[in-house]
Amino acid sequence: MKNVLIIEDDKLISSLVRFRLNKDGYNVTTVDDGIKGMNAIDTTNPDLIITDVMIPFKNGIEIINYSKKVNPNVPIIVLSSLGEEESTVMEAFTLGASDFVPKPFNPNELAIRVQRLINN
Amino acid sequence: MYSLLFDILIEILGIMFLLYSFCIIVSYLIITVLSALEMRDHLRKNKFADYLDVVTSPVSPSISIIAPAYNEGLSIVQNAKSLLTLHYSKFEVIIVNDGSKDDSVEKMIASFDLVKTDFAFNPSIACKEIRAIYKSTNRSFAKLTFVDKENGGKADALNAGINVSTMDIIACIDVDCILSSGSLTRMARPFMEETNRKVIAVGGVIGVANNCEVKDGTVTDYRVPDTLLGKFQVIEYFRSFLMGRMAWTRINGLMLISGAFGFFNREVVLKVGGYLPQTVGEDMELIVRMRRYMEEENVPYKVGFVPDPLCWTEVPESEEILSRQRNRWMRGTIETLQLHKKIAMNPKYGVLGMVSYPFWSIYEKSAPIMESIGVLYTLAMIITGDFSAIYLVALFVLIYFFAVLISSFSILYEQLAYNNYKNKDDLRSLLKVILLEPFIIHPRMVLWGLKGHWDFLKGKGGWGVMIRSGFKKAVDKQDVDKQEVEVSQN
Amino acid sequence: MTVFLLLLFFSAFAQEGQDEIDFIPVPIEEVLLKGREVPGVSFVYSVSLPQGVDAYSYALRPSSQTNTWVTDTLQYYTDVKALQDSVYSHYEVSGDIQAFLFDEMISEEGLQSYFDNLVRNELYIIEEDRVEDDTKVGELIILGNKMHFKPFYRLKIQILSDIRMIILISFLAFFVFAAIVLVIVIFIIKTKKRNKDVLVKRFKDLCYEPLSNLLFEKSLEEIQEMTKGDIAAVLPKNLMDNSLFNDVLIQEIISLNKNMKGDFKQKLKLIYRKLDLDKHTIQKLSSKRWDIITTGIVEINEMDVLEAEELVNKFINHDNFYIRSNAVATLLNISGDSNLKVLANQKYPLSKWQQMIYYRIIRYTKDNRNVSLLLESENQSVRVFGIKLIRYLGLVDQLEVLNMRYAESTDPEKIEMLRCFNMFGYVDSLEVVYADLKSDNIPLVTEAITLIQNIGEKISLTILFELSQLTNEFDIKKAAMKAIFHLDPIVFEEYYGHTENDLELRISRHLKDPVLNNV
Repeated sequence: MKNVLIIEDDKLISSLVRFRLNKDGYNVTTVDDGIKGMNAIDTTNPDLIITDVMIPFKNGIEIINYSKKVNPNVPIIVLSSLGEEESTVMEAFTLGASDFVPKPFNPNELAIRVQRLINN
Repeated sequence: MYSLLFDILIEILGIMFLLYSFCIIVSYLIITVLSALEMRDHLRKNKFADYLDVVTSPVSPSISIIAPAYNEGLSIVQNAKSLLTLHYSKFEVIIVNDGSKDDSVEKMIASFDLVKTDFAFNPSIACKEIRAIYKSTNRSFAKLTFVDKENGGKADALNAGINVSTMDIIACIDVDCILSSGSLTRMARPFMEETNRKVIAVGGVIGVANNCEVKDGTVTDYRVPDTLLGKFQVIEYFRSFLMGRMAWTRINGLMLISGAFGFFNREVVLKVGGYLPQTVGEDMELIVRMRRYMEEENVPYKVGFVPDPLCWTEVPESEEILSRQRNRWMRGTIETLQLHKKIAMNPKYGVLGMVSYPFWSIYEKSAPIMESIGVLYTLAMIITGDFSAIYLVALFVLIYFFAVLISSFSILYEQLAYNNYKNKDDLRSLLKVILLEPFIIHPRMVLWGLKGHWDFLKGKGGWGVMIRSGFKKAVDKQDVDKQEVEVSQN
Repeated sequence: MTVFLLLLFFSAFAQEGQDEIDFIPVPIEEVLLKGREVPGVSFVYSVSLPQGVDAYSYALRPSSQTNTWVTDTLQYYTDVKALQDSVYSHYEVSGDIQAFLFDEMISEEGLQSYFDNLVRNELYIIEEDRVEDDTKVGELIILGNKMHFKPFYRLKIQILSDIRMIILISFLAFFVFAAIVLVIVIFIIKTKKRNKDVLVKRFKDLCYEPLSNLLFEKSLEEIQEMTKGDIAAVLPKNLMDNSLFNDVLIQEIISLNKNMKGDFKQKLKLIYRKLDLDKHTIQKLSSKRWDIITTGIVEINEMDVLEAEELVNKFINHDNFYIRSNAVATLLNISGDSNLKVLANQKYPLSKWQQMIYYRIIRYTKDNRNVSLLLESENQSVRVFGIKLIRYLGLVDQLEVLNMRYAESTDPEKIEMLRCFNMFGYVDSLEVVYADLKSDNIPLVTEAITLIQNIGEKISLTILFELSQLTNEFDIKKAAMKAIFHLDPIVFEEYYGHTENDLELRISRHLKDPVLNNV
């Protein structure tokens, strides 16, 4: 079973995404801040990471940086809210984010993206 | 040994102390209630604020952050970097090197690819000579301006920064403060919200960072400091920020915004001529002068306050440094009140003249004097065996319990509003400090306050004439600048 | 009245008469036997007892004479008399009582005449059966240094002390009362809040699974066909009547609605309606608390409760800032108000905060909005906001209107209009703009200069140069020089290349600095 890590401070959203991904047969871990996120990268060896840009204590950029250091092959999907600065999004891509999903988003669509990235 | 006069004097003094303590207790009870109301409203308002929108909206005001630095070489680069990463779109960071004797300038130049520029600014506020203004050749540091100037003190450095600044709002902060990334949006909000009044300044809460775990500009784990003095300051900061300033904001009578974290309307600051470098209480003096200006111009205005935890600083835990800080604060208070004595009990100045000013002069300024007279009086009563000593002892017990009550409340406020200090041991140790404070720390505060009075009388600073006469109008400060320039030219 | 006066007269006369009555000596023994003390007078009792008798138990001690026992010097004659009686009853010997005046022996006659003197000079006042109380103030004037000095103003101080006592007690009572009230209040608040937090957390956990199930397992049509009962059956039982649970459910639905796209939005709104949560929302509008009303308005906005439009309309000029601004935002969103009438009719000035919210809403629906009505508003801040919207939304079609109105507009409007012209790079006539260069309003002048800098002509150079020479304002001078520099660097060199004015030198160096111009 593939592991997916979700770093998102809105618990309802992360639970909802977890529910959707569980249906597709993934093993999903959810955490709600950046520090826990980094720990989870070390402990759960995720096959894919979904992270919000604005999370407590760290930001998505730092998560990408860290994850790339630990294992450069893990794909990362960045969730971002409206009003996020373009520069952040650009930075996320330059650092190696695999995909970018702006909020509001469709969980079914996110699930398809996850599937595609993991199968590649 | 006794004489009629002496006896009557003793009686009158006794009654005076009673009334004084009564007034203090009533005032603090009012403050408790007012601040509770204001806090409730603030928390309710926060539910309806979308701060993310403020970051990018074209309507948001632009902000110049001014951070003076003196011999901060060890941390200046890191601090400048964290200021540049704050969440906001229209802002600039002006770091003013106040003639540091260390390698601050070299470090800044190397870290940010700075070059000297011919930046032309309007020297509308007098300040020490600016040696050079640097900008970065690297576009990702475009928001940074580095000003190198002759040493002139914090207020002088801020004045230089104000001259160079170009934005709507100026944010004066201590360079070693830790700012939360959302601090600018939250502090900008009061400026954006008022419809009928001009917001001239907004103050923020300072948190005690000692012992807290800090990661990338945010406090991740709140712990109380180890030392008694450190813990005491945690409580004191709760008391003064969450209770005192909230209550003053409720009645729009706020007279002090912390110099470590204050936001000002640039236009008004320029109108009154910026900071007054001659006083040690420049932060309080500026607010009083700005308010006074608005009153004299008859423009409706407001001084706002944001109680969210957004800024943290290391407080001094050594007795020596703390005593100097308190001495300075006391002198600053006396000087400010003295300079603006014209507004005292003057109905023309509204809440400022009728409530804030008298409160400050009766409680904040005179408290150490009244308290020490009270103690001497009680001792005298006990020694001579006069039975009125019983009253005084009762009074002291009363005041003790009152102090404990108020301090406990301030902790409860923090718990209700933010609940940042979650560790039970920490809370218990804070409670212990509350019980001990009136015996162990408060007497020292009184002593340092008295020392401040004494130093003021001795005329530390040496600008006695102006302080004796005071400002006749808020805009008089510019005349002082001119005289200063003339003096320095002669 | 007369009778009263007469009575007064007689009583006064009677008083005087009494004073003139001759002195009648009182035997001192009578006074002493009443147990009173006469100042300076004391007694010693002596008695001869048979040999071998031990009289220590009578407080007697042997004197220098054999078999004679004496007492100490005693103040009270009654004490001595009592002792004499008890000695007599035991040994049948009466003994002698010797009087002393100021420690010297005195005969009975001498004592009587000393006492008569005291009485005659009113140094000793004989009162019938008066209770002895030597703390009473002003009672006795001293004789000799044996008596304690009692100051006569003592009484006054006593009253003062009593006032202080009263203050202290009332003040203690007040304090205790206030403290108790405060402590009780804060603890009630604290427990309430804690209980609520716990409940909210529990409710949130309860919400997420049924919501996920509904959203992912059921199609829009399936939800459409479900009844309230069907949906409620998925949710925890009995909680649908709980107001707090409804609040939490609405919050979660709103938060999902904000973050979800596609048919999820419709599903969420459907669930909200089916569960009658819209009624719960509308109920909030009649609350007394401003924050609850505002929450209701925000929910109406997020969930598009169109039928509440009339209700929200009542709040658009409410004096509470939050109610007012959210009501307007909601109406902008849910009513098909293409002319932005709600905004145009605002009585209160628009704050920047409100402008930010309204702009966000209008931005998404700009194609079917007509901002021109805003420019007709009687509220200046609304007009200024209208002009800002033209710029933010790039509404070129409004440019004509701005050009027409410019000359008659107020300064704040003009500043915004100039920014618009600047953005679109067009203005009908630069003449009106030149006219504003003479204004005292510095932001207006600098804004006008910026416009000239972008679309200026040959003649602008001279006008700007003149302005830069006349003005004392740094900002204006800098803007003017910058505009000239951008319009024609060669002319700039001609004008300022050889200037000796310090300010001009500094500004031209600034303008030519490559680093500053990159930024």
